Amino acid sequence: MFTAHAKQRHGSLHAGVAVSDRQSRPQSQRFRARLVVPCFFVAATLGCWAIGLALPFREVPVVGQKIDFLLEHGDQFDTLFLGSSRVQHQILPDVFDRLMADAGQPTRSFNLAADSMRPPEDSFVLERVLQARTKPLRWVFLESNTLRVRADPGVRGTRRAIYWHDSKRLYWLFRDAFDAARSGRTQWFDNRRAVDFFEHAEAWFDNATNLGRLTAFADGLETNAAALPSWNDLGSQRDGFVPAARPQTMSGKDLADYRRQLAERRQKPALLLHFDVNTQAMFDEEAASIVRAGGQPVLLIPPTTTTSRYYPRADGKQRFLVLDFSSPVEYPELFVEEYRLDTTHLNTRGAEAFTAVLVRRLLEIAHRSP
Amino acid sequence: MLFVEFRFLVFFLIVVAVYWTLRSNTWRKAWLLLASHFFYACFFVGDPLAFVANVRAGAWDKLPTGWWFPSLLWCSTVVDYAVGLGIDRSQTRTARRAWLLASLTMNLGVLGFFKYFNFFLGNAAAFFDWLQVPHALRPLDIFLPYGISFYTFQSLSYSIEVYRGALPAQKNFLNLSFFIAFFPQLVAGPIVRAMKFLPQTFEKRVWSNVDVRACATLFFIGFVKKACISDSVARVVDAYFAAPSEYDAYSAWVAVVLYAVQIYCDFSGYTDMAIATARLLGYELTQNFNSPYFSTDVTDFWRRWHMSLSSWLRDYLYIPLGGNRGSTTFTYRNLMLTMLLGGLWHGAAWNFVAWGGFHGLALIVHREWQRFADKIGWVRGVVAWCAVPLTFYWVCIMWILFRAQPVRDSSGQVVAGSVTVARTVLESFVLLRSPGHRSFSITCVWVLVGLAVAHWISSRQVLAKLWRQIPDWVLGTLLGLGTALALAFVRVDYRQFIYFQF
Repeated sequence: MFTAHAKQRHGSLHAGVAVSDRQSRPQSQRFRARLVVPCFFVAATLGCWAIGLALPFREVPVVGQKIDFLLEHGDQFDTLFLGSSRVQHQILPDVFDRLMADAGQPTRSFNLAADSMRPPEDSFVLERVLQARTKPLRWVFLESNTLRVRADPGVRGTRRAIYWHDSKRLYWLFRDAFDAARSGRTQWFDNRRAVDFFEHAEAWFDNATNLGRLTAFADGLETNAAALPSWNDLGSQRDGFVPAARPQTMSGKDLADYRRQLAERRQKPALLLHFDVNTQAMFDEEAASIVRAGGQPVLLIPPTTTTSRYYPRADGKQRFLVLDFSSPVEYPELFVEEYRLDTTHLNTRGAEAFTAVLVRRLLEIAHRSP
Repeated sequence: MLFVEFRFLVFFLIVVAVYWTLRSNTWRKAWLLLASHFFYACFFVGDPLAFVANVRAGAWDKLPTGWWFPSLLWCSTVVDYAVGLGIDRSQTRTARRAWLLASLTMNLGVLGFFKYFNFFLGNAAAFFDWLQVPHALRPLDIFLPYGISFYTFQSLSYSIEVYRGALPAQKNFLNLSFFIAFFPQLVAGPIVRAMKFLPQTFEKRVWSNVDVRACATLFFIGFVKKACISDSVARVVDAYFAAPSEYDAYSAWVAVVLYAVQIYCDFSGYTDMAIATARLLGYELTQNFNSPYFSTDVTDFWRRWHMSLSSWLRDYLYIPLGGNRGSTTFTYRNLMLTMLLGGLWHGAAWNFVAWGGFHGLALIVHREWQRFADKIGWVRGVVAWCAVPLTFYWVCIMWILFRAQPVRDSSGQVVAGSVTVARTVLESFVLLRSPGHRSFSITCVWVLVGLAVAHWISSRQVLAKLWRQIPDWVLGTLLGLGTALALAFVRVDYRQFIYFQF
């Protein structure tokens, strides 16, 4: 009743492309047919590379604007702040500049931080911004954070997750995922890290293939007017500071957690840990590029009530100035409840206070050093 | 895991490499079955490591919604396997019918519960509210399993064909389970008939019969349609349908026609990729589209659009109802019932039923028209020149019903129901009357012209002759460069395939 359909094929593809009969092709033809695959990969690789060179930098919310702005106006600023929301919403460049100028150390600073920015994304951003500089830097403040292969599942597949995945960053993540000894682990293979690294590899592939970089054309179909850059993400002063978009006071669970953790930190300070070898190597590289640009790298530990804080290793290649604000005993003014959003963030008033304390501490060190 | 994602590429390369390395046909099918269930499970389990950890710890409440849905696929397969054997061993027609009824009840019951329970419950509640009769009818929190509409129909084709005697019952459970779960067509078709697919499983597939060139070309075309064209025009369509009263009539036309493009490219693109993927494994799936927007009438449209579904409905619903074997009224009744149920298959909402119903009406009108035109020959000639644009116009009007969804504000509250949206869009599209003044870029028109030309070229197989003459290495290079360019147009926030929701 049934005949095998193994050799039956449609006369043509419904897409309008015909199917050729391969059964009777001589060996030389079959060899040339196998060229389809390597030719495809070579052409695709070269094509992706060429498109990547031709296109402008990927449009990324917040970070993209800051990078674009600094590529255009970077020489106007000689101090940069880099890190996560604990820097973006907590350091006011205009307050910093004013206080530094009052103390006879005029500077112009820019807040390059963004929510959830941590290593190695910050190293990509710094590298990109420094490549266009012609004038020397003074300070670059880097938030102390460890290299972590675990990604935020909420950003997976977004432009923000993809844009910084170049080969160098992927290599850092690979080391963190599988270089157990250097990362302070006993087993080189860990299921969780392997899966997380695969997600990063995916993001690297998306970035290398310029995924989504031409969608601006489709976006432009929606409107007749050409979109003009608005620099909305740079803040009202165009210095990168944007207040946190949350209620400015704590309540409920946030308040209860904060009080509990604050009491713990007053009893016992946050555990002092050192970077693993991979994180140290990454920060050393960042510091070296800052020094080459004429600046002083400063490691910043914001005022939080977390259980641990990270310092550079003693055997690190570069010397960092470390400003640690994690002690509620040493800096009680930064842990006043009215200044806090939660255990790790300050509100805008708290940010003003923090910026002032940061300037004071920086000036103390500057006066002490020869 | 969508076909347009990097992880699918990795998955598929592993599947293909292992598949063609295995020598035994049985092992190959077992491998594909395993891969298919892994593919399907990826839609439901979320983070695989967290899933395994929660299962080990017995933390069932932490598992994602629908994690157990892949078991429905197994249940359907086991039931139809048993039904097939039961029908085969039955001596009487009554017994055979009882087995078939069991399959229909189980498969359609599961589909009905997941897809239509809340719909009917909601309508019953609305009815009681209208009668001012108190009731305690509340919708359940039901999550629709991906692909259930497709694999249910596929599974039913097996039971029905065995019942009809057109197919012997499968004694080999592996063959049947492989047919139902085969991943290229599992979640969004095409709906493959058991009669067409199962014989392919008896013989070991041969690599030399796989036309890599054709598969690569077809996959590329499908990828461009889905990831580049469909997802790109979706922005315009979504913007319009989110607030149709704010846009002018020109934008209504642009949005509706672009929706026609979107749904065609989305669905046919997926089908192209599914067919290419299956062919790389040595299996042939059913063609699903045949340049439907060049149809000359609505009957022709339904011979070219979603062909696997329309032929399934014809063979298993329309013909068993009596088809056109009775009076004209009887035929039209069968036609209308088939189209109404076909509309309902697409979704548990009245707009889909209306869409199916109006298409049914159009089919009836077309049949009446044909009888009239047969009597007055010159009329046919006059209409022929505008048949294609008229048919396309009608299809676009119907797409308005298909697409009209309630408009919600930022808090999720409905500010305009689907009827209001449909009415606003219809007024703009048909009567060219719109209160709004917002307008889409004029570039949209050029995009539409370009797409129409590309569609016409592909329907005429103009490039087919050229394609046959291109050397393999040139084709590989062109596909590589084309892929590099296409990837840049893929939206980073991946859109789900439209037909996944069915």
